[in-house]
Amino acid sequence: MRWSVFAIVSFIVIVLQLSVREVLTLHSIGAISPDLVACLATFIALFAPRTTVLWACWLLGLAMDLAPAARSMNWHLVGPNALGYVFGGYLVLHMRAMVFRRRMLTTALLTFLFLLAVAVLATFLLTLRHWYLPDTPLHGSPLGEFWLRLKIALYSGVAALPFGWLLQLTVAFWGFTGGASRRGW
Amino acid sequence: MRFSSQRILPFVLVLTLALCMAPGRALGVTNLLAEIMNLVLGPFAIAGNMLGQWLRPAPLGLEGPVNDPEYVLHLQQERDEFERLYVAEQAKVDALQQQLAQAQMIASAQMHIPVRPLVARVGVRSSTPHGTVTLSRGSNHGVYVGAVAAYNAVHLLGRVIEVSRLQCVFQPLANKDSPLVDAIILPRDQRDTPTSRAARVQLQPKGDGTLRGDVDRAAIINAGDIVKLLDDTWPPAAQGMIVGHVESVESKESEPLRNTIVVRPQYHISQVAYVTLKLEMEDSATQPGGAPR
Repeated sequence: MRWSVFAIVSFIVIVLQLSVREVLTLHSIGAISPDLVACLATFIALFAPRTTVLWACWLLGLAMDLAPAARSMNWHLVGPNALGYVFGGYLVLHMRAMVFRRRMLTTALLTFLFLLAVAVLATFLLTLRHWYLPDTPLHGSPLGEFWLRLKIALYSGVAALPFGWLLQLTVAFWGFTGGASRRGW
Repeated sequence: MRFSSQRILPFVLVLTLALCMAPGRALGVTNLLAEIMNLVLGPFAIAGNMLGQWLRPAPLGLEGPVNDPEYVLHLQQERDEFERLYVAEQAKVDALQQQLAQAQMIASAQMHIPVRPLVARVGVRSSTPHGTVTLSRGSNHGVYVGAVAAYNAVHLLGRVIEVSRLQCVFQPLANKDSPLVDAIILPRDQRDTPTSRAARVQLQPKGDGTLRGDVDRAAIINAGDIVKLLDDTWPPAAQGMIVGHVESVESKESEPLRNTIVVRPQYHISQVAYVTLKLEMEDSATQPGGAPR
């Protein structure tokens, strides 16, 4: 994988995630927005080598952890997303051999599963931390946190259909080895 | 290169986990990283936000954070928290007023024994009726074993039997395990009767909230008479305090020359949230019933 391409695309996607995602926010069901960065991480996890995937997921998760939090705090909790993305990437690494990587539905489904894994680990970590540090930014309760993340995972899976398709268009620039099957649904 | 990055990754993940579990004050370094990220992303994010506003303008009259449900939720949570604090503070003010009233009553009482009143909050209560109670004051506040607890200045509730640094265990007068109490009975309409002429009684707690004792049948005792403590085993500050009122006088069949009186304290520990501990000053301390340390 070309890290320069990763840096440029990640930068663009993170900017979109932190600014333009409001366009896609569904206010009627808890103001959820799709996690475009997770779509990108899933895309990378489908094609890149194992170690590269884990590093890329960690970097993207770290960026999400360092993004402005929903609650006013004078610190950023690093870990729930950084570790969650690595866990999600690891899951996709194990599943990618069983799927058609260049299908839009694959990207959508794996994005959902990726974020489901992130939700499980992040909720666990936040709950564990909240147990002894009440200032942990947990969305109400562990169940509330997981439910919110589950909704985001579902919505991101849907959003990954067009966004994943866009990413698939760029696959030639990434320098991935393998996964050269034809694009499609 | 790849080999080394493979080896570094587990350490990075462990470090991330450690950061994740660290308290907020240890995460100061994350602010620097976030600031750098915001600095780099800032101009582009502003442009992105403008693009977002253009693509999906905010509804009229709801621009700004009011349109953000998370922000609104945050405000609602803050409002609820302030309401809770307000109610808690009101309760605190009421409690302090109550404590002040109790302390003032002790100060105004005619006491020959110099005592220091100390208001103590009733903490954990025993599951059994008239059982021991934990009070919120301990040796750090000057409480000692044997210190007496009063309510409304002159009503004796019981005394302290155990003291730790921050709290103490209080045994109510009516507790079944309390020892016998020597007391005098004063007619309710002749309270100035000299103690030498007053009927004496040894009262035993029965565990039902009353104390019972036998008195000479010749003594004129009626329901409503006042029973006051006069017992050398209690500290001087407790002498003369009201134990209760005579509830009934019953003839004793096994001993025809004696009557059994039932005394009921006017206040029980189960009825009150605060008690006033009467702590004797150092110079007046005497040994009976315990002494200040």
